Amino acid sequence: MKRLAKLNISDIIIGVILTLLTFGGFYFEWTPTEFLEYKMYDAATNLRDRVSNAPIVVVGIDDDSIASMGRWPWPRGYVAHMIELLHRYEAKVVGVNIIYSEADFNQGLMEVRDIIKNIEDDPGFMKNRQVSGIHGILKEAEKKLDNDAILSSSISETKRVVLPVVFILGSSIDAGAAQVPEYLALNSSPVSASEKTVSAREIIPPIPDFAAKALALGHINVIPDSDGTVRSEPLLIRYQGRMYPSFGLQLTLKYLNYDIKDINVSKGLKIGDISIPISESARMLISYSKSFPYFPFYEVVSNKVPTEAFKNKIVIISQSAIGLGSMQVTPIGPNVPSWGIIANVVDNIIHRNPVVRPEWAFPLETGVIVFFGLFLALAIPRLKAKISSVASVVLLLVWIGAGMYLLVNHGYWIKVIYPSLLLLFGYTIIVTKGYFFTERAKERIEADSVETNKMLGLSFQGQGMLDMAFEKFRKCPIEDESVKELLYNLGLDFERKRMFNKAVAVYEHIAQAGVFKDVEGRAKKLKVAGETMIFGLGGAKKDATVLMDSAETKPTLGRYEIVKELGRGAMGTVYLGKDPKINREVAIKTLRYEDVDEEQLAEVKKRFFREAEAAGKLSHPNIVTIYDVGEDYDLAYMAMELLDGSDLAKYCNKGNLLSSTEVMKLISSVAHALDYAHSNGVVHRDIKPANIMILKSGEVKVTDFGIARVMTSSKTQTGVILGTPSYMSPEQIAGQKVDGRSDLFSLGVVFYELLTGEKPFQGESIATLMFNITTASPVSLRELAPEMPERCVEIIEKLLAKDREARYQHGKELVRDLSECINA
Amino acid sequence: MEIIVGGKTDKGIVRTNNEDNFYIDEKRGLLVVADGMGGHASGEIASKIAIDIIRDYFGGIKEGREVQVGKYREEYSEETNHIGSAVQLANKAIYEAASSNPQWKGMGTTVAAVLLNGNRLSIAHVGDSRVYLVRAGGIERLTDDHSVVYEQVRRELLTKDEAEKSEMRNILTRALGVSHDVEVDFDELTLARNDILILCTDGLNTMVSDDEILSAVISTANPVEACGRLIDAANKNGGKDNVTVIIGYIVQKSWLSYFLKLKEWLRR
Repeated sequence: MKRLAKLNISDIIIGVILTLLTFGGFYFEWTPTEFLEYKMYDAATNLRDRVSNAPIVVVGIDDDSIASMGRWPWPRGYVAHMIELLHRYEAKVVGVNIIYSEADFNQGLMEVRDIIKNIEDDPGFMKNRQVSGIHGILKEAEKKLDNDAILSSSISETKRVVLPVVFILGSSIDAGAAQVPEYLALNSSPVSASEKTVSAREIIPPIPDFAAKALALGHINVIPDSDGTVRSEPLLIRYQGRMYPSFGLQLTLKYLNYDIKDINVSKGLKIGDISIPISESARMLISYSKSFPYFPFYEVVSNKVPTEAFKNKIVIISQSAIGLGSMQVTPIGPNVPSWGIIANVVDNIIHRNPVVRPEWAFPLETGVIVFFGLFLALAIPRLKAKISSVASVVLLLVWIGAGMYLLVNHGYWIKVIYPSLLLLFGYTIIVTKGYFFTERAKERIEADSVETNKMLGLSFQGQGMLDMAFEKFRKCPIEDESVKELLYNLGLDFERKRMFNKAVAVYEHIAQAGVFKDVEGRAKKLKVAGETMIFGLGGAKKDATVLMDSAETKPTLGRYEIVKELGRGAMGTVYLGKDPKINREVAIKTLRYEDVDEEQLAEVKKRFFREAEAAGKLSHPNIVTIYDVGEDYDLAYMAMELLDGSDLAKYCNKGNLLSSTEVMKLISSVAHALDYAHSNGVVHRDIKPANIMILKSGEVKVTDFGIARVMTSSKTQTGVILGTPSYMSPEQIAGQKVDGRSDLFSLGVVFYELLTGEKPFQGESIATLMFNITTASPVSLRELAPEMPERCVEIIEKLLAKDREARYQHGKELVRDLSECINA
Repeated sequence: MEIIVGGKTDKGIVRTNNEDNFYIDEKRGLLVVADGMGGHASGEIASKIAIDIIRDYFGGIKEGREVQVGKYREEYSEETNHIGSAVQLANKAIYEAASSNPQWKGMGTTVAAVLLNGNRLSIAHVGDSRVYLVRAGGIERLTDDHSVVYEQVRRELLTKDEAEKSEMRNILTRALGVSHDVEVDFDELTLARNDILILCTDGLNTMVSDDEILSAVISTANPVEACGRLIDAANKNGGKDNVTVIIGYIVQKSWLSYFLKLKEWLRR
């Protein structure tokens, strides 16, 4: 539990730090994340499939118009003509998105005026009828040539022209209530909007002649976001303490028959009953649509456009030719002419559908950041890896999906990126950290076996195996209080079992690490007790062993005296026995009945005796002689020749291999023995190095004929674990009946191993090994022992054939081939 | 998920001693059966050590002593690794006990253990003791026996009929206590309501067919009764080996039980 708690605290810290970082980025609008946010916004706005049906018509001064009407700049009269035309067509408002900040400069007009002046200055001329006629013509020409006057008059006569102003942005030096021209005062509002409103330091209005007569003036400044894309429109710009509406806003106001005075700023911009949500800097997010009715200038002039197209519409006259006017980058495309933005602003206001940062956006985003932070800190470390990854992905998708949905379908802009990034990074960090942390923890636990030892010790103690428990506890650091406690309890257990010297050992072990409880006192007391008790407890033990040694009658098995234990075999203990009759030392192998299932006992016994008797009949120099079989107490026993030598197991290691000739001679002897046994109807069934002995005299003896597998093949005996069956033949593995050829296969395996030091069939598990024996062919001797004569390789291959029929059928055939090989 | 468990062991008709052992911890959802082997009654010791160690291991976890024995296998959950560790630890204990005492030489045990955590079941097993799952009227064996014949059948070296008659029917390829390390098979699954878990030693499945087991288990909802029936069936068919069965009926915890638990908790 403690470890878990620690783990969580570090996760909580990480979660909190990440959440705070996210808030930081969120609050200060960190550029890279804002950039991502913008990209997200653009992607979503592009999915908004809007077709505008706002009453807007655009008359574009495009390349075709310029081609057919002459080079730009056109005489201002052209525009004046257009205004009058549109007036006739009953356009409601005409926005001329062309900046006329300077008076027209016309050389011709100046000359004409000069001439007129000269004529008028000389009274004689005027009297001349001809001259006065010319004067009239010149006056007429002056009128025609004075484009400014023409435009001015059309502006004032039509009373529906909105003109642009341009601001040079920057913090304005508010010179108090500076004197502004009346036309500017009329087109601005003294409303006090937020401090953050975009401010300008200079204004470039149209020439006063136009400005005074225009229906309204509006600024055409665009303010791109940090990535250069125009997403919003500053509806108001502050200049010298007054708010100037944008061109689009003015067009709309006039279209809806409102006036600048109707604008009210409080929680958004209100015009009459229209409420436009704006940001603190009085900016409105533009919801772009692409389709506005558009006509080229020259087509309108040449009456190719039906007049109804303009009736009661807002008409925007604007440049759209390449190289004229500035193009803006917007979410819907990189080359949007200025009228595009204006038209969209008008459309948004009229339809009241701009993109909105709703009031609840900030609390929602904050809430989601907090929620994701909590999810990271508290949920992820506790959830399973799979669940937490799925949960994170689902949360992320739901959140981004919701953001996209709101923006695409409802025009609500939620900043999805910050919480998303928090979740993404947080998940990655916490999961990788968790991975490393738990990995480290696991390694540590694995390396640290103290706990394992404690647990094993406790378990042994519980089983009453106190010695083993002590051994385990001894491996634990005694400085540890808990280990001392465990040892102390173990000491008490020893005392209870009256194993006082052991208890003392335990207490002394504890005492090494300093004073603990009454350890020293106990040890002292026990030592005294132990000495007095020796005669009781220890003495009795001694007696018992002495009794065995000095007894007149030695234990016997049948007629054999048991001298000592030689070792333990697969079926039972092997004793050194003595045949008192002929004073011959024998080896006695026993079969303990209690190891055999009762139901099987009769069967096993029968087989044991049958096999032993069959083997007993064998008399061959290379086969261990069996003298006698019998039964005594609950043991079956077999007395056999006592051999002084060692088995072949040690010659199977690389580095301790016998020479190939020696091996061949040895195998040949075994083959001899096998041939003899097989012809007498006895199959060994367990040929392996451990069953082949080399005596000190150099003789080779095969032991354990027939009986080796009596035990292991007893039918329902549970739980004998198969020793590695490396020497088994395929048919043995398949559980089929075996004959002499099976022994020859096993001998082949021994042969191979003696030559190479490697087993021909190997496998990581018993199952693989068995599979390999039945199916795989061994690595050829040609590779492992290239110096071996070819003949020998062939012999081994024949011995190891999977199919019995393909092997040597009798041992003597092998003997023959081997002797050929040895003599060669 | 909650489990209603019962377990029973019987020495059978032929054997004189019982080398099987089992352990049930209903609260923790831990069920273990073990089938010991070895002379001098050491099989009993081996299976007992296995059971005790696994029990103590989880006791240790509860007390915050968590030990990873053997390699931690990432592909399995923590719980599965726990139970695997417990089995590994048992293996070490048995192996060391066996090598320290000549009387116990060669002892070993099979083990099949399951741990229920929520609705996730972790299984660890070594040897030929089995775990069955009864679901929707069908019985499915969840473990692969580590025995020679099973291996041979799996590799299609033997047919099922041949396997029944094979002389090596009882020879294991893996068991606890045989070597210092043992390879433990893991498995995990999600339990559903009304599932039934059966853990048994080979004394059951060699004597009683899967279908018989199935019908005995679904005919009652009382695990103790079902265990009794199965053991009777095994003994009736010969009872050649010790039989041990644990049966667990999976039930959904009702909201009432949560409520009662809350009440219990509040009273503390």
